[in-house]
Amino acid sequence: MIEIKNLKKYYKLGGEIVKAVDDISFNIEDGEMLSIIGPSGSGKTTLMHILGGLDTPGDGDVIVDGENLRSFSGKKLAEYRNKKVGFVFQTFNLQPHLTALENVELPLIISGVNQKKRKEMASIALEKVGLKDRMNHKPNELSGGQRQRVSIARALVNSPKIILADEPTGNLDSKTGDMILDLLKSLNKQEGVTIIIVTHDEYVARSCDKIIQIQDGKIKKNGDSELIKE
Amino acid sequence: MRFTDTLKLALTSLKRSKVRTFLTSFAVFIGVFVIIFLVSLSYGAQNILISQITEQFDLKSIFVLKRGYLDLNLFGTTVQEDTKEAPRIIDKQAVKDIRRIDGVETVQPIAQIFQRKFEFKDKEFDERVVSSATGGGLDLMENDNLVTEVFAGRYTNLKDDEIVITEDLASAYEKPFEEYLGQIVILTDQGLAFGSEARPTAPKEYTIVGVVSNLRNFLYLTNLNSALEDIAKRNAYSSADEYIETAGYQSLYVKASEEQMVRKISDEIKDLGFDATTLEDVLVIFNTFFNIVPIIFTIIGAIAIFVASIGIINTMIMSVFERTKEIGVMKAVGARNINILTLFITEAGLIGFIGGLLAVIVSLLLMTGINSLLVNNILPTLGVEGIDQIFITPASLVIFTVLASTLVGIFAGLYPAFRASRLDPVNALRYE
Repeated sequence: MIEIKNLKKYYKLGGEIVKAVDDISFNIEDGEMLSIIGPSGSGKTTLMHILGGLDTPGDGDVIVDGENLRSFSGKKLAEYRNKKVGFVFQTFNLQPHLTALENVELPLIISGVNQKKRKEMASIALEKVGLKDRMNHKPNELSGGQRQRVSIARALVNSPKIILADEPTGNLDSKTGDMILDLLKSLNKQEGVTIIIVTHDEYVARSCDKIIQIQDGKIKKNGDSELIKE
Repeated sequence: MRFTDTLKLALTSLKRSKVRTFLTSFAVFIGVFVIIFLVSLSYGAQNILISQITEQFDLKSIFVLKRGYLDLNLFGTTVQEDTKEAPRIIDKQAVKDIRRIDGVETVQPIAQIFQRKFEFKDKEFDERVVSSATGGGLDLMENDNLVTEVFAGRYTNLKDDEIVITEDLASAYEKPFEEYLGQIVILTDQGLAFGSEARPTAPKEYTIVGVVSNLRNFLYLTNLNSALEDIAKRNAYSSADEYIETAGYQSLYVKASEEQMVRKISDEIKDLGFDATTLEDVLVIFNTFFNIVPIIFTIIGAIAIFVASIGIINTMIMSVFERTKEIGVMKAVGARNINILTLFITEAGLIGFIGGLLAVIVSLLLMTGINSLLVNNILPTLGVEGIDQIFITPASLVIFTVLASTLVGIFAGLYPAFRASRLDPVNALRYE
């Protein structure tokens, strides 16, 4: 379970204080598929970065499985990013000079898994996203949807507890976007991995079980996706 | 992260921008190449010179000079330094004093006559003239080790009108050594002898009785008496004896009975008021010189490598900029600062290593080529023998330069790598 208690994150931007996250509290149950929705600048990406251990909480606590991220050292935070969470980005963020397989191997290379084992793990992850036959292609030889599937495989490969997806369909056409959403859904159902999608797209948000709507750093609505209607 | 994986990732990154990697390494290449090439050349030159010196002189030899004369006879010159007191001359008493020193086997005065015209009387034998030949007057003996090889005839007990020529002079006329024996040569003073009152002496005829290996800078040798008379005459002394008692012998050759005695004898000769030079002294001077030369070359190369390191810093900073997003991604998937730091330092180190390694390969190939070309093709046609290599490259030089260039790369990579490692992942991921 992830508990977010009175989380605050303020930035100073050009002399003005920006309240990116302003006193947010909510819980995320294990195995949930949740979307965080809000307009750009609402603080949803900052929230995601904090949940993913890329950014530090300004104030308040983020407790993952009883451990408070606030107390983590840089080293422990890196390990948390490596083992507990997987990121999926809007722009895929694959390393252009590495093949699909090598991109998926990256988290395993960092955690020091030996070559034989990590090739095996990475090809299993690519198989899960249906890209086993393209694993030796470089990102520029793959379509947008395929690239996003590689990045999902990369997020998956260390069997994380949480996958954090920031606008995962933002750079894709609607048909491919649906395929990616279906893939995330099936991973949620089959692997039981908690999936948090950050989006400004209501359509994407509605495909999740729960929605948290954020505006100006505060939670506007929090509930089951069917209950939130405009 | 395992180091082998870091190394692989670094190599993949470098391969991505091959031209840039090559150009940056090339600057290192030049520095390392300069060091290896020039230092190997200086080692080679040292080896050649030292082996030629030790071939010509043995370790029991001591050369005695009037104090204040710096003996650079190996170069064929005698330089007078300014001295306040008149130094003790090497007269007959001096020879006696030195002879009395314990461990001295022989003492032989050497006279040196500069720049005489050398020609054969029989123009049908050879009409060519050596216009400026330096010779010596020296009573050579069988056991004095000055002559290392006799090619024809004899060299001991020369009469006043007999002459021995050396290999160098003989080879200038390109005839079999035996044919020189019995030929009459004419030596003519050029009037250029040292001393302002020098006056040319009449041409003198000698008969060649022997051909021997090279001896100091002399092209020919007569007996001591004959040379002294000539020197006395050209310097306006009434006799050789008067010359010796007034001006003294130019130098003495002293031979010790044992090598271990050389140092002691040389010290005692100095106590008598003369300068004494042993082969050891000469070697010390040469070795000092040749110890400095590689350092100078290394400094020149080091400057080039230093300039190259600025190139590496520049390349790496560019690379960090270009790969900001990649660094963000690596951090997002769990890379620690130290992993990023190591990765970029490894890349910079590899640039240095590649440059150094290329320089080693290219310089070794080039030097091997030049060595074999010179030794097998060019030097023999010039009549130079006994040199088997021009370049000597110790393994330590190769290891040192490759190691140094890698270290330079690593040092150059420190700052860019530090910047890369400190990048904020959130900003890095946002970077376009």
